[in-house]
Amino acid sequence: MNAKAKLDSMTPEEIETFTKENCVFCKIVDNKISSNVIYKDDDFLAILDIKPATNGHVLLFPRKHITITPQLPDEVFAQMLIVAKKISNAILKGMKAQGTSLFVANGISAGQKCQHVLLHIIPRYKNDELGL
Amino acid sequence: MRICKYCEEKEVLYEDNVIKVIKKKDRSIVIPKKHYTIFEQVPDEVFVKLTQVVNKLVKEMFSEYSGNNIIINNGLGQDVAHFCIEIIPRKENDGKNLTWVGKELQLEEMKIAQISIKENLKNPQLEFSRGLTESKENYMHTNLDRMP
Repeated sequence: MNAKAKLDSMTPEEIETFTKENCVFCKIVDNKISSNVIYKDDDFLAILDIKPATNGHVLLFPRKHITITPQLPDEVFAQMLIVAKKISNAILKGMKAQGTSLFVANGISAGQKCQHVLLHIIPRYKNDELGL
Repeated sequence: MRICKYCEEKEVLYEDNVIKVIKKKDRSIVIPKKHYTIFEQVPDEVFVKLTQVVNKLVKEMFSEYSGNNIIINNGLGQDVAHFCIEIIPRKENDGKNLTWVGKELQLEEMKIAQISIKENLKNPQLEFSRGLTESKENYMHTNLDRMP
């Protein structure tokens, strides 16, 4: 069976399992890939980006495999921002940053590189040349 | 008296008791109606209203565009001193440069960043007043002074 036929024969549940098994961030959630954890609770995990825009760049994401933010229920997305607010404040103080930029990419055309919702929390420093 | 551009903005796409949506060039700007300068000042309950509107706008945007970015600039990089969520529609090769080149950091630098952020997460300073800030260098102090 070729790959296309195989994909077509899969049920939505099988596709979901397949996607999850191939998602780096799901593997981080399941502790199959190590990471520098900043924060965790029942719904979210925050780690340091291994290729940071600036030093102290944090990735906050839901434990559940969700691809884009409109798939997050409103109240879960709100909770994610409430967690982000705490992390942003800790970055400002801990990294002595002059600000933070929060960034989400929904879709490949927006620069999304993996199929898992990521909220970037990026410390801002003078002359960081970040064009956000 | 200083005037806030977003508080004064009369051309709105959407408005309710808590939220206002403004159109600015290519992007939709979602703001709480009440004036908060920075992220930390926005009360938790306001985020529920904000995300309802953001999710709705993003879903609508997907009917015409293949992607979008959601951005919150807080402090440095923030051009209006009123907390806002910007939603930017995206298409393939639209020429918008909203990306960065990732840095390679030393393991030690990563560990120092991890410890510094985690330590400060224990006692988030989310409620504060001018009296609490100690020095002029303090981020809160300088940013509160930007309030109208």
